Amino acid sequence: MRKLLQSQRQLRQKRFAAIKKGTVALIDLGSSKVMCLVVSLTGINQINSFSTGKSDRGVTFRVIGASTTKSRGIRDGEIYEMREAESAIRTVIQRAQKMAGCLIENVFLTFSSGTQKSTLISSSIEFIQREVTELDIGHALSKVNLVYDDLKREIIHALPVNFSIDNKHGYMDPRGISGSKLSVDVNIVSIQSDIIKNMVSCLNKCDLSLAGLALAPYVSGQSSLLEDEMQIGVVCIDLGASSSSISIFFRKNLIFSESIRIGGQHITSDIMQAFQISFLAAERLKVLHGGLMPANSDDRETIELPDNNTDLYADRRAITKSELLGVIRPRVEEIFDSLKTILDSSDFEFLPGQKVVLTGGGSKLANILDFTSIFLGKPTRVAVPMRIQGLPASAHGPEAAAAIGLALNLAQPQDELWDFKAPFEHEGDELIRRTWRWVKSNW
Amino acid sequence: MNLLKSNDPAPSRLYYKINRLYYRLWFRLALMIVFLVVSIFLSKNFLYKDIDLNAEIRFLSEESSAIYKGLTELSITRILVKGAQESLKKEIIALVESSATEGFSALKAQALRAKIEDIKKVKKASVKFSTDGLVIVNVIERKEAVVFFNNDLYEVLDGNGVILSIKQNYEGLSSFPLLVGKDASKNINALLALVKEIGSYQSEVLYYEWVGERRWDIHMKSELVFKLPEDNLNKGLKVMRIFLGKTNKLSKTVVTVDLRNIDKPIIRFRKPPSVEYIGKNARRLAG
Repeated sequence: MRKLLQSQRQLRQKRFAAIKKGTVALIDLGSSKVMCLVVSLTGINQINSFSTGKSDRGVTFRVIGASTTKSRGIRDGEIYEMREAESAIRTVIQRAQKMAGCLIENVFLTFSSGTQKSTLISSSIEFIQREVTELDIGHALSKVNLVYDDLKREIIHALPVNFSIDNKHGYMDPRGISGSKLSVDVNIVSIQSDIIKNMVSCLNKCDLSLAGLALAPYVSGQSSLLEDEMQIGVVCIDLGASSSSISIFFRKNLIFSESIRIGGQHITSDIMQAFQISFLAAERLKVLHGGLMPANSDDRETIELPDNNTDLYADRRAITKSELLGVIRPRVEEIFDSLKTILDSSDFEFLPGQKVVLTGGGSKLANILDFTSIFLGKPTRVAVPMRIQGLPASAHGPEAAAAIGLALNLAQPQDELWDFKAPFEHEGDELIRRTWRWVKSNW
Repeated sequence: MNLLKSNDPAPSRLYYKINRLYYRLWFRLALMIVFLVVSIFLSKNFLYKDIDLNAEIRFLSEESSAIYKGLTELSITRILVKGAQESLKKEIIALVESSATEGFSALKAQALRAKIEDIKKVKKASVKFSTDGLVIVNVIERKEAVVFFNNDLYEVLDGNGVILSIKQNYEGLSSFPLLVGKDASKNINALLALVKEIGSYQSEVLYYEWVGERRWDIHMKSELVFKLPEDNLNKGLKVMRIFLGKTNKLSKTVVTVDLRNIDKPIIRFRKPPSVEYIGKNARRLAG
């Protein structure tokens, strides 16, 4: 626990230092594209936070640079070829630097991993009847039994999602409420530690310093969902290139998150194999002619396949649209079938809100809205991330949801477990530790 | 080893590092300094290796007028002199015409102006050439202010004490105040102020004498001499004007009015007057 708190607090300090410098880069490390936004943190506003007991400082930001490149060396949200991934990051950083006109040193990273695991853990403390204080919250959080393999898994998020006082639930800020028993539910999101290590190593090779980390399903939801939806309960499905993830929000908190290793690239791969064309041609076919809902005209509508070789005398091939749909639909059904299984296991059906929100590049597939609402039997909408200052309109598609969400998360971060002081952390120790850290970093 | 090939050319690691360095201010400054140093080194050792810059500059400064002359030589069609009287105008035109044989250029115009300003009567001059051969000379002429009698010669001076002409006799100069005395020419401004104060009696003055390099004596045509004080000059002049206004008939009998001590003026007569004369005129003298 102590080690976790220390490592996460170091990351928090890096985050504050990066914000102080005024310019940071946000990188969305996807399997199909790597996107980088450079944001200038222009102003400071007050936001309510109860972890430190005083009003914390949030920031307002403006996008001053943006770039995207084709992803290389990254598969299923993990780095498979270090050199290729490094060159992809170099490409986006250099372009974004040129656009922003300043040097990027600190990077906030978001990615979607197939290994992510979300666990809801509860803990409680009892005390003599009195008003709950911040120390009590810290005490309750420190009692959370973090069952995870320290060597294999790394905790990315530990979000307190619900407080209960004397078996009364639904408190968001329990300070000042009288009671004798305080319980807290914490959503622990973890991934394999190797993934983080590889990413940090890759960033270091690009002369960049990691200042913050967030998982894509979480930040995608933050940028795509409406406040009311998040309040009553909503599921956000991020259809990525090589993985699809689910994040469930309730009372504005992420209460569940999981992902599967099937995505849009699998659909493209199926088309490629079915019609024996190149990957790019298959992607083009999917984007231009792909769909999910069959129509009567599909059998008559022919699509000419792009020629793979340069032989001019070879017969040009054509397929009907129904053939294409026949390839796409089973894979999409497979994705949503897996997602439905996860949803069923997550107790989403007991939440008051039953809405499904689609985001990510896969949500651009034609007729996906109708397909999802029929398949899952729930009201569905395709979300476009909220507009942020300075970002060009062309970059405001669902595929930028994670990067935009990361910017929003940077501006107004949610309190996590390590933002509260545990009882074993005495003020004096903390002061000495801070002094030592300062001495170490300056000499 | 190059196992992987990509179709999106990424910046090389070296280029990426240099590019990142470029955003640092100290690197830019260092780059500029290095560039300057290299430029200076190259220019000194290669570009200008065989050229003596000092000699080049000397050559240009010496020969530039000659080079320029060939380019801009003009022929004179008319000379226009402004701001000068007829005699000075003629003198200037003669000077310009004599200089015209050398040819003109912008550089020569300066030389011509200097020559014109060498004429004593010219205070300031400017010369302009127009492309149609017209030479315009604007002149500010020195005005004759006083005549200074020095070494049996009559020097005509302007207000600043510059000698404009020297004449053997006084003919034609009576309109200017006559000045005598050692170093009197250095006090022209004081004299002109004095003449202005005397006003209408100026015509009765024969000459002004600068005495002992400190004060003025005014010699009237009636042989009367006013010895003015050194300090209270205005008061002395006032007494002098009263004297001349009220006792004009006595002036022939009075030789000197000594006002050096303004509180105790001394009047010296040509011949001592009789008691009757004094008694007769006592009331009038008393004012």
